[in-house]
Amino acid sequence: MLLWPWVLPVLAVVAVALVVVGLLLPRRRRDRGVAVAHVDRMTALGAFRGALVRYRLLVGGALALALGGALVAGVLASRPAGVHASQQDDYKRDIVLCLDVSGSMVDVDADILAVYQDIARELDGERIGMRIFDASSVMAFPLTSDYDYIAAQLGRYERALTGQLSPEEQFNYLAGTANGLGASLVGDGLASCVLDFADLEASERPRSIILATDNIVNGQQIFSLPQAGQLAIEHDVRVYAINPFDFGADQAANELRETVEGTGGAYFPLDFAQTVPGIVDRVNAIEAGYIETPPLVQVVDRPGILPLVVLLLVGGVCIAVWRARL
Amino acid sequence: MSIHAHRRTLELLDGEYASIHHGRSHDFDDLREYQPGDDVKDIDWKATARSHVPLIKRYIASRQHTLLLVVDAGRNMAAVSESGERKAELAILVAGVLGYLASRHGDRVALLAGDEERVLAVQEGGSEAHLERMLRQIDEAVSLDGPRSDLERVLALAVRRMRRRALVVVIADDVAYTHDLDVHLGRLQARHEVLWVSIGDADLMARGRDRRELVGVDSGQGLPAFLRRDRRLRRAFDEAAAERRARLEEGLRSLGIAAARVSDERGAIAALFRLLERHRRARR
Repeated sequence: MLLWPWVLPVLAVVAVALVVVGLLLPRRRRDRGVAVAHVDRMTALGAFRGALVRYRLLVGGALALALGGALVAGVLASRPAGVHASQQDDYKRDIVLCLDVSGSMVDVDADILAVYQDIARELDGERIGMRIFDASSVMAFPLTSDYDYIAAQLGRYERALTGQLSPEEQFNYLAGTANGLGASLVGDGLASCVLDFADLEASERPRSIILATDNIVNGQQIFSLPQAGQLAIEHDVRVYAINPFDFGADQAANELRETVEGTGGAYFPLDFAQTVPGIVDRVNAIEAGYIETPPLVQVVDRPGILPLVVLLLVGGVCIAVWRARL
Repeated sequence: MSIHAHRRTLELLDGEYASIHHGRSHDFDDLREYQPGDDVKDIDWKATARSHVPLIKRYIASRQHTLLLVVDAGRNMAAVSESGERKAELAILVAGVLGYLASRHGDRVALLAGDEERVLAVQEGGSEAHLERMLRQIDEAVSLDGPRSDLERVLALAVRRMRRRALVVVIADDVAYTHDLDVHLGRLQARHEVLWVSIGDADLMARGRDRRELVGVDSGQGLPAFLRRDRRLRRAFDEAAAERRARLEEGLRSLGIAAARVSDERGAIAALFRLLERHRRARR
């Protein structure tokens, strides 16, 4: 693709004009050479023919190089360009895993952690954070793109949830989750997860929360679930809920569905049809719709190696002309 | 200084002319001892009878020699000489010096200049004005646009036209010594005394700073400066040029013609004096 294709014919005309001038000039100059007699003293020599052939080769080579250089320079001047599509890093998303660690949720949490451990190995640019909550919420680890660390933490929590911790890494994963009144305070948990996103105002990265809960609230919440949902909407956070105990049209499930769908997210009951990995795949598919912003398409000059070629050709011309003592 | 004439009967000496002009008697000064090669009919028998040795008479009329300047007036003379001057300038200088010497000596100077088309013949004359006129005519005849040089033709003309015995000075350049040249010079030398002056041609491989192209005057062929950097060509040219000059010198020597090569104005006078000296000593 040439941005200025009209430059080529213009340069061709200029080149032809230069060649014509170059061919006409020496004819006028012939009179101004040094007049000498008896040139047959030289032209009769055998060595003269060889030297003349070398001279003509040099001049011809210089001419060919100059023409080639002019051609390449012409192509270069007409601006060869290409289309450059760029995906900006800003659209890498942030994910916070927001896990209800009340006793009923442990198995589902472990599944989610297992899935995200696999996902974390293939991520690039996305950040993952994790918060667990029951009566109060605790940040397991903040948003980070340190995938080794993420995988280690996820593995650690997964083993803790399934009771497979080795003796030397024993820890009480529930520590700090029982400081409130009641249990499974989902609204508070979701609200704190929403606030986990760093630089809420400045960052334009798509934000999503994987919320695993059964929404069986037991106790006094500061944020109700709809309020937390509102907070998420305000901060452009989409919430994807995974509910292992959806018994049809119960009120808790409905409230959870309405809230998360209000944020632009989705609600997934965990039943026989849906496994945790399947759900996560679908979440990622939905999220992909948000992060696939149209790539920034730019038409950029793509000179490639042409400038180098021109440089080499011009250098060749200079050397040939110098050798030929033109 | 004079241009020596080898024929004994035509002996020319500075003192002799002085005596003529001063009107002194002929009886002693005009007699000279007989030397082998002198014409027997020139012997002054009465004077010989009075003296112990044979004496010969010399005729005043014969003492005036003719100096014929044979000059190449073609394009070659408009070219550049070895020193960078116009060759015609050097040719005119040489012709002028020799003509001046001759006219001062009382000889008469004629000119035969020409190229492949033209002939410029000036009758002999004894005055400096006459010489000056001839030199100017040479200068006007020689130009880059003029006809090509053809020295053989001019020499053939000289053979045909110059019936009277004369001193012939050929002013040419670094010509190749061809068979024709040899024939014409041989004929000329048989009748006259011939001297040869080569105006040195430009060195085509000149190492000077001049980067301009050389242009051959006869063919218009250009010799780009590039060729001057070619070592092999330079060596070949130097050898060929030296050989060409050696062949010319050898040919002239075998004909008994004294030759000199004038390559610049400064060395011209010295070269001409050497030429005259060589000519005087040459055996006939």
